[in-house]
Amino acid sequence: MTLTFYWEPTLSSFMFSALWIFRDITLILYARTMKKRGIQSKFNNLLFVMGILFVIWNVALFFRPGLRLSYFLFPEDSELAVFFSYIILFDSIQIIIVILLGISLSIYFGNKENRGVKKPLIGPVLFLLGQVIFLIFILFSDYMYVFQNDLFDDNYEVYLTGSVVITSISVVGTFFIFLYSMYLNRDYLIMFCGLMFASYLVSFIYIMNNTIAYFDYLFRYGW
Amino acid sequence: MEKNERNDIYAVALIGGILCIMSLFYSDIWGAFSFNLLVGMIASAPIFAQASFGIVMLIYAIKIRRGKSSMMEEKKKFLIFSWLAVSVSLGFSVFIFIVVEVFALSFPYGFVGGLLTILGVYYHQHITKDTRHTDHKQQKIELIPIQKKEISNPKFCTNCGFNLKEGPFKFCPECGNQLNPE
Repeated sequence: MTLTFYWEPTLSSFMFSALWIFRDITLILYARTMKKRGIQSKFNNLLFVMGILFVIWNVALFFRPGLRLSYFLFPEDSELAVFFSYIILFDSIQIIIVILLGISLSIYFGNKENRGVKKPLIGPVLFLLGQVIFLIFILFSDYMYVFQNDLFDDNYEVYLTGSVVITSISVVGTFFIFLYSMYLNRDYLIMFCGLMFASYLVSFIYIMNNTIAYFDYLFRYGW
Repeated sequence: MEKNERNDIYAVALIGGILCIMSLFYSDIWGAFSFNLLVGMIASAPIFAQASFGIVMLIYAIKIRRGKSSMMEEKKKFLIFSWLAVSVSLGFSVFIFIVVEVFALSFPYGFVGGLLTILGVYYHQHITKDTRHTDHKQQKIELIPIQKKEISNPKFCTNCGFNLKEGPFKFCPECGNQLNPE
């Protein structure tokens, strides 16, 4: 067999998923406290459900096994198909769940209570737009990775810079949500946005370190 | 919008403090110490500093949450410790990148936490229009009103009784008496 599943939990992977889960718990707490304080909205339950969905997904991601292809034996077509579909599946589900969060946030901020006020919609809509573009970009780059692997390796910088530039759109959207949450005086939403910023920067640094290691490996051992 | 006038801006400092403390758990302190004692001490010093700034911010944020003090009183402390956290984390990350050529994973926590706290403090200052410090400065540089000298123009000299018809004199042309004392 050239295809092997493995699960190697490390301290850093455990702490990463702890950060994501902490972030999602603040969203759940926000939806709960808004009910308790009597600030009623129809869409509190929507955010609550989204928080629970995120917690379940991040717990599942921690126990997700990795897939490894052997470099010495040529894999069969069925094994290659399993490998690539696994990659595309997890990438797309991750972003689709974030898109669902963006939709629910834009419904929450653009509800009937704020009729006529369009400013609070800037943040969620930018967030949603960035994630939708990111989904298209990721699907395209996965397609490149699967069917034209050499081209993908040659133009790895394009993937890196593109992902950074496109996520910056949703970072700006999160910034607007953060400002609006300070204006609305809601503590758990402020915490959620702060942890979102932290998770964005952490994932950015993680990708940068991986790319540096990748290019280091390339320069040392050749293509 | 909201019936009660709670001030939830403390959450900014709370999450900033938690993020600064988090940098402890995301850094490989034991790896640095196992490599070399000196390297371990150099690498762990800024992380412990960040965590201590975070603890200070967290303590004062909890004080505000419980109503023992207000954001107005603790604003200066938050500003000092958040700026320190930002500068230490940035400098540490640049130093580590020059030495090891890898970005330190503990860097984003102190950076984001400090930046959020700074932003929250300035936002709070903006919405409450707290201009205590500027008022204090204005009191110091208060303008002193200039007293205008009134030039008296007597018709006769007070000493000798000389008629001063021709224009205002500073001294009496007859006896030399000073007419307008400065």
